[in-house]
Amino acid sequence: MALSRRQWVRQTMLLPGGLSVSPLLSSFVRNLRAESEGARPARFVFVLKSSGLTPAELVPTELEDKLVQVGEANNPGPNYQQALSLKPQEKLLEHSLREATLHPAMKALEPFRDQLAIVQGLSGKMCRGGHSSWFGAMGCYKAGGEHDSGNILGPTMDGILAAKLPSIFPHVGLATRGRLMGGSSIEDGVVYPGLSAMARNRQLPYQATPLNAYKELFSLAATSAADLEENRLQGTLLDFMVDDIKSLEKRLGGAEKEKLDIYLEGFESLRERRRKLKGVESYIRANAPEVSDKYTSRVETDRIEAHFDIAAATLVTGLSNVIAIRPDGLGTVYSGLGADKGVHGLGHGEGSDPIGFRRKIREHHIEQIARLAAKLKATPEGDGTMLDNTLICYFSDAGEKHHASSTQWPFVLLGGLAGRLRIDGRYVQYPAYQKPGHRSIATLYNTLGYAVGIPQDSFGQLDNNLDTDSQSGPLKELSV
Amino acid sequence: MSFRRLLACLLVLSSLKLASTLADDASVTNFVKHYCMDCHSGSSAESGIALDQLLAPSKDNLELWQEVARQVVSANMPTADAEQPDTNESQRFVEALRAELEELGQPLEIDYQQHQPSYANLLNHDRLFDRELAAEQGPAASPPRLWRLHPEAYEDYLTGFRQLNKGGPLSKPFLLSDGKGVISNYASLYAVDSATLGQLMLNCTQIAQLQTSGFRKLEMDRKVKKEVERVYQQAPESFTAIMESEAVPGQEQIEAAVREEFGIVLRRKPTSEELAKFGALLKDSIGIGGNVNGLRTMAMAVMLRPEAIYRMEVGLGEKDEQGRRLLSPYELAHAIAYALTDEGPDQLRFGPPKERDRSQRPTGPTLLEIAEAGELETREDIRRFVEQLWDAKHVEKPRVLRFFREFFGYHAVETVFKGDRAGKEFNAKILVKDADMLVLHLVEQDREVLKQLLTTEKFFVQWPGSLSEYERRIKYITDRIRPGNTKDRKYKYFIEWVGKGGSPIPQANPTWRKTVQFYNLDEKTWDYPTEQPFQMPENQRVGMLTHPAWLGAWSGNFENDPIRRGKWIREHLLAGSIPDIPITVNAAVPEDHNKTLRERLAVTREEYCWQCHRKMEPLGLPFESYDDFGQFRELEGLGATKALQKPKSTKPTQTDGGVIAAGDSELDGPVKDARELMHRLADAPRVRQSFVRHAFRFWMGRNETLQDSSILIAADDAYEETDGSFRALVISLLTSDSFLYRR
Repeated sequence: MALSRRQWVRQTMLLPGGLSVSPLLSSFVRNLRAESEGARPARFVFVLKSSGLTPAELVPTELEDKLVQVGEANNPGPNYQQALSLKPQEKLLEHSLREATLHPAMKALEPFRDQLAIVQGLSGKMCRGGHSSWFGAMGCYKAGGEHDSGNILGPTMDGILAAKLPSIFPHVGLATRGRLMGGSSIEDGVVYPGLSAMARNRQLPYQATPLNAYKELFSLAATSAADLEENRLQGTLLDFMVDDIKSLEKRLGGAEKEKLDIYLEGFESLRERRRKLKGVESYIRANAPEVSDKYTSRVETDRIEAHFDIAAATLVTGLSNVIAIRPDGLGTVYSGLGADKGVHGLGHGEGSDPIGFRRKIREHHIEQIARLAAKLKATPEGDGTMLDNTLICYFSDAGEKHHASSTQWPFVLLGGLAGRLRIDGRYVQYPAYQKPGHRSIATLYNTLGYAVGIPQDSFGQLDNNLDTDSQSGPLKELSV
Repeated sequence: MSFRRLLACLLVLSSLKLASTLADDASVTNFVKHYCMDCHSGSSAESGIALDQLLAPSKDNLELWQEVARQVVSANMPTADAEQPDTNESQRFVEALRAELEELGQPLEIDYQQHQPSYANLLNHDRLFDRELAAEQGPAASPPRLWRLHPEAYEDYLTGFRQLNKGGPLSKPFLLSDGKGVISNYASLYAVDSATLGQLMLNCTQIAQLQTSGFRKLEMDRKVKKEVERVYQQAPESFTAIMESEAVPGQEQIEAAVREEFGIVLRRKPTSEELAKFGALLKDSIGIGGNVNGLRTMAMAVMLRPEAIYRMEVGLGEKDEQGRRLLSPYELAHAIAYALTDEGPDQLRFGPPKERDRSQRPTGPTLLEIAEAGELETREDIRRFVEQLWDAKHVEKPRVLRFFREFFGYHAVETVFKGDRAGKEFNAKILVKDADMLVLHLVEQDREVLKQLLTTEKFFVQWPGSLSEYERRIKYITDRIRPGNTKDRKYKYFIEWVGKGGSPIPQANPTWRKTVQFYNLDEKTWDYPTEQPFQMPENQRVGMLTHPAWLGAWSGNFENDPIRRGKWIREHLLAGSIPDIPITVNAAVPEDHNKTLRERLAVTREEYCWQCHRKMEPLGLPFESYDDFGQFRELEGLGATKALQKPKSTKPTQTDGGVIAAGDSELDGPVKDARELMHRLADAPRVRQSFVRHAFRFWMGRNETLQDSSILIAADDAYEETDGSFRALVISLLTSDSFLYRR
């Protein structure tokens, strides 16, 4: 029988020489202990697709007649078209999803209908629109240009949450590529998609190679004599590097010292991680994902699946509380789905069936989210499951379409934060841009902040064409 | 929100209270009163900006205060004809303002922008090139810095370990931005963070394994037709001695191993302190994991030292009277090597070549050895070796071409997505190579380099490099033609041309032969010129800005981009800057299949837009005589167009434009076409100086400051006095105080 996390902690604590006698009780164990004593954990997974998340294709079938219209020709390119669009609403619209039929592309989420919220009508015009809002998508400010992510004005929501909910790996970024446009469909190694920041000018990295991500996250839980010896050697090396860099730092000042500090931080965090992992290796080993050929595949969909497997295992093992997944960029070609054009081309209406392929891509993402949710739901935690304490947010860094206007910015929310959010099977559509009762994406982020104990009423920059009310405070429709 | 609109909002506020907190600070109040109010007060305030009405920084007026700081820091305000604050006054004012804004949670934008290449032009150009002001500035120097290795240089370092690939793929831990029109490799922009460290460690583990136990691989032996185990190993001598023995190595062996690894990785001898530290690490690790693993750990520690990843330019030389330190010979050797090449200073040799050696490779000491021997200490020493390196034909200098690519940004044509508007004949790689050849040719000629680049009518098109290489290729292709096979397209084309005594294009791929159409050349009828560069069809091309690679790179997915083309000219040739697009502007060119792009761009003529757009479109619109694939045209296709296809409906192209507010009144005025524009710009001192500023950024890896004035002026003089020698310009920069000193 699989032990629940709480049971596991209780049992380990009773073992002689187990965690309870460790003088350095790691934060991980502290978290687990707090949890076993009734404190509520919180975890976030941000899934940011590129090229916009089409609002009209998130609407449950019953509401389609009322809410969806045939799109007008919005024409930045020869074949560009948005088949369907959302009718702007004057008033707030709420609808239960418990009995509703989800859009066919969202079918995979049917088993989770009572832990789902589809939020439409928020705007994000404080951000740069177009191909990407870059850091703005999670930071609510204007950043970047056509090709580069630009000035990082402040932390993004995932960075803020990573700081608030620390763990062994405060923030895990997983991507298939770093560049937005151009380049090869798949990139390898550490990439910077320009979406996440922990602070002003401190961008957060994403790992593009699933195998590397696996090694980084799970390889520390070693068993054999050779592995243990290897671990000791690595410990010696890390200690040595920390001393060596510190002595070099004494000779430098200002910005250059800071640069060395960043390097030093790297070694220190590796060292810290090793310390925190002492004693919990066996739990991690038991829950680490199995490495398959997907981890080194050159097919985009394989890699995305591997990333979602890693994300699930990372959450289950408690290695991190905040994960950001960037499944694609505009230069991605979904060969695994048979797409004949890249995401950018499809966004411009090219190829044999651009709208169909855009739907297939979304469907693939949704299926991965459902797989992740299923794994979390299968892991008991407290009186419920891990899914009850994990919020998965699916959205795009380009708002509502390939060339986003950002007057609409749809979000699909799945899971929950143990009663601190009302994600109970609901479709919410806010009044259109500049209409009374309209809300900006900043208010959604405020809502998340409130739920984890960051009670801030404003976030990022303001949209000068909206009144302050529509941009401040949390969303009461989603708050408890 | 624009300056003017923001002010309009502020004026509505009835309170006339002058910044209460600012008023407490005499330096700020005095500064604003003394230097700003003459022009910026009352109802007739300059540009509608009245600072007497400006309130203390608050959330409502942040943008204006940011702008005030920007104007003061970049020496644009007070204007040149007004009384100037001294450096201390300005600094105090900005510091006070910074503190105020920080309290509101808003960092001073200019603090960030000063270090970004894309904002470098904010610094007032006229002040920068003012000889009197330059004389008042103290001696120049760069800040001490760590400069992360260029990705290409890191790759070069890896190739030193030849069999590394046997251990599996290596990661590329360092990436740079595209460098499209912006100098990409700035020292301050890149740091090695924990994620990059993870990558580096994977690589280092692999190298350390190659140096110790090696990679064991089962490989098919062709002779015995069986799989046999092969070991790929590249162990330093001192390592082998230790690994072959089971015994714990003695002190001498330990030190020898540390010394050798330092030499291989860091290209220098360890200090006695380092020898002791790394020796102790090696001993400890051997104690834990045995000889092989111990060596591996020590090797990794050397490879992970910051100096293996960062070029240390701290300034370890003597301190001079002004408190500056010269780079040490070791630092200099690296700085010079990486300024022009991707190779380390231990790879670059000087001195006479071997007799009868065709490659002309020198056999003398390396640059590093020269530095160690104390021959790289004075400015004259440095000049001598930089000149030798520049002139050395056998040394590849990729950095020179990289500068021009980043300056013009033409290499980015490969990243501009044209979808199915173009077939494979739009081969961007070929176009980039053509442009590269033009650059390298003009650099080699080294006469009026910039002027030539801006006005030449002679281009290279698919040129294989020399006549002999051309002939070899044609022979290679025709030799492979099967006689009598009339269906073979290659046969037809090549035999026909050779038959009529003409010259075919040396390109076996018929689709890629069509790439010449983007130069308005017809591959079927064009007699390939066997001397290149050659004169392009009359009155069509004038310089790099009319090269299909440049035009393609600075175009959109569906049409030309006169705005970004104009912006490029403003920023690269006129040393001007354009503010970021306001958040509230939905920048979209309206669609209308009955109008030309120029007609549709009329939306930017609204007063609010035109304040900025007048600095761009008039410069970019003359290039409407080319389509977005770089083809010259007299008719503009309307609606959806495709490459090389006749559009359904057309209108005559209109090519006029103009220069507005160039900062040099002689440049201002209308132009009838791109030719007139390019010729007017090519002769202007401001354009030359703007080019010098970009070269400075590339080779110093940072933005210029007023303290660098004398260096920029000297580089500009060197260029002008030598009739536009790019060599003279770069050598002037590489022997300047800004390059050599740290403070």
